[in-house]
Amino acid sequence: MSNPHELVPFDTDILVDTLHEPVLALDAQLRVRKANGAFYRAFQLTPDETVGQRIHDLCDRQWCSPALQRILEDILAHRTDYQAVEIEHDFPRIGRKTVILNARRLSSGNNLTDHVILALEDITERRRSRHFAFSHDLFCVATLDGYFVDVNPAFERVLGYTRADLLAKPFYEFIHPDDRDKTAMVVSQLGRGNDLAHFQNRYRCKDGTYRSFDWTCPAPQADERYLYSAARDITELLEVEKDRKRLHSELARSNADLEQFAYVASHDLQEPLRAVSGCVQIIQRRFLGQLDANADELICHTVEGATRMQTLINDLLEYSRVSRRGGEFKKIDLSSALDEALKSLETSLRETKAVLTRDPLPRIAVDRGQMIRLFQNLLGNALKFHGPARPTIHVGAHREGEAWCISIRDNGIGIASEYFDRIFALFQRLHTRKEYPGTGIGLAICKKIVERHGGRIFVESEPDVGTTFSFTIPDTEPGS
Amino acid sequence: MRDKFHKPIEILLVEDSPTDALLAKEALIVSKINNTLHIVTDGVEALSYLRRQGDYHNTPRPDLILLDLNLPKKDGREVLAEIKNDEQLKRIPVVVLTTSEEQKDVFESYGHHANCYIVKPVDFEKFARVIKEIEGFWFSIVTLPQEC
Repeated sequence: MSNPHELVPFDTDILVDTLHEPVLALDAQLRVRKANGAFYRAFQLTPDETVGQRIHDLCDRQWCSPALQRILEDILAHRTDYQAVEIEHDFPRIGRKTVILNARRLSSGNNLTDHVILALEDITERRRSRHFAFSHDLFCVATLDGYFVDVNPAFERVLGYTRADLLAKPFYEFIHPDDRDKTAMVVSQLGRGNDLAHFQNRYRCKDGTYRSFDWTCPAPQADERYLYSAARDITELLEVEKDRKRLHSELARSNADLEQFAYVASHDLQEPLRAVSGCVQIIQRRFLGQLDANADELICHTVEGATRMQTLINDLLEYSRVSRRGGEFKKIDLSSALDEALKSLETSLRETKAVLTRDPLPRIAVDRGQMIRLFQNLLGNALKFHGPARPTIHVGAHREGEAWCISIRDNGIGIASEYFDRIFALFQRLHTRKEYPGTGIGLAICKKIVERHGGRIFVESEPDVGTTFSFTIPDTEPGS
Repeated sequence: MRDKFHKPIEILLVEDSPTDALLAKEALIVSKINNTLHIVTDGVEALSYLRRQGDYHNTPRPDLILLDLNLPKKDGREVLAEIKNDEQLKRIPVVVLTTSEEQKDVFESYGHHANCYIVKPVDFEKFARVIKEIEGFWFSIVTLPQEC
């Protein structure tokens, strides 16, 4: 009788051959002693290129993944077995696979050879089919002539039909009649090998309602007979989008209404106001000083009230014109708008002995007239609300992401932070008309101009120190 | 140049608002312009006046027309076009005097050969000044063709 230990290799070979799973038997140097048929089939290798090779060297060292190598080394050094370790690897010839690994060291005692038995179960398909089964997205396999070959449970869930229902008829019958031609065109495109990133159509549910799907459909590869497509149910998304669009257009309409109202109100109010103020001015001309003191006072108050109302209405008209009569956006040198604004402020610049410094300003696409108005208002404020010191104003410009930020910094009386929001509202004032004249329209107009350009305006200020008004104007060309 | 000290300037005001007409009258008084002001309140009447039709067969030919744009029956734009297409009338200076600041109106008015376009100031004092300027310009500065 031979030594029982010598039976070990024999047993291993038999064992390996009997298994249906791919199995390898390795020696202590990790050379392949034996591989079974399942292994050769699964990994598309031949015995000639396998047996006797170190496992690391298979297929020009590309077969063994670093994870597998670590496991094998570990097994030899320390452990006796590994159960169900999942590895993923790009195997030569068969591509990316997920494999479950069982490894066991067989020691044959009395310093005889160690063996490692390695069982490799390819679970790639199983994994995919689990994704197929549990995805919320809809997966299908279909023929080019219009039948489903397979659909995943999400399909059944969303449409309410069973898999058998769906496979029984051409899929076109489930598609909204208006979308059938479009879908047929897509299928014929795919049949000709053209990938289509996305397209949308509607499917009829069992309850008669429709769901909108967004499809991802790669063209079948040369050796594929079927279309493999994935769809996402975007019905709710489209509804939300529709709501958003509706709200947006409602908002736009209500804004337009409001603007129309401001315009009509201010425009039409001018007519009766002209009558009142005209007549009262004539009365003032003819009768002031000819009646009594009381009458004179009344006349003066009436004239003043009418004049103020004129100013308010004019301001309101100007405000409503920012969007009503805005000009085209053209690329201009912003410096030229600043120059123009400074020209109109010449007198107050001279009277206040203001010192003005400025950064070079960019070339950007703007409504030139409105930029002049914007500078006029902001610089006008800087001059108007100056402190005891000589007004010092700096016009700065810097890049802020995809926009330019222009700032006007002064050393004036400043604004307390609790008023920062209020100052941009229509007809909001922080001072009496006696202290500082004006209706409180200037910054509201500035805000509207800046917003029409897609930018924003903001203020930083400290009382008695100074104020900086900044506004941004989007500009996607960073080079300018 | 006309003999402005003796012969009053004949002005035709086409204006539907009685208040605006009153203000214009006042402004002419304030400006101390020697004038005769004739007022008609719609476009049809304006053309009858100018063509001396019906009740107007005896009216003098105006030296200047102050024309509002928004008028009942026939509006100022049409009146302007008819005046400027009329061989007899087209040489009379027409000043469009309106509340409209619409570019479209300005553009169209000059297109119909308005002699000038003025937006009525809301403030009466300014309005009076404008009237005075109109008079000064058309009757002291420019040379007009002799009436035939």
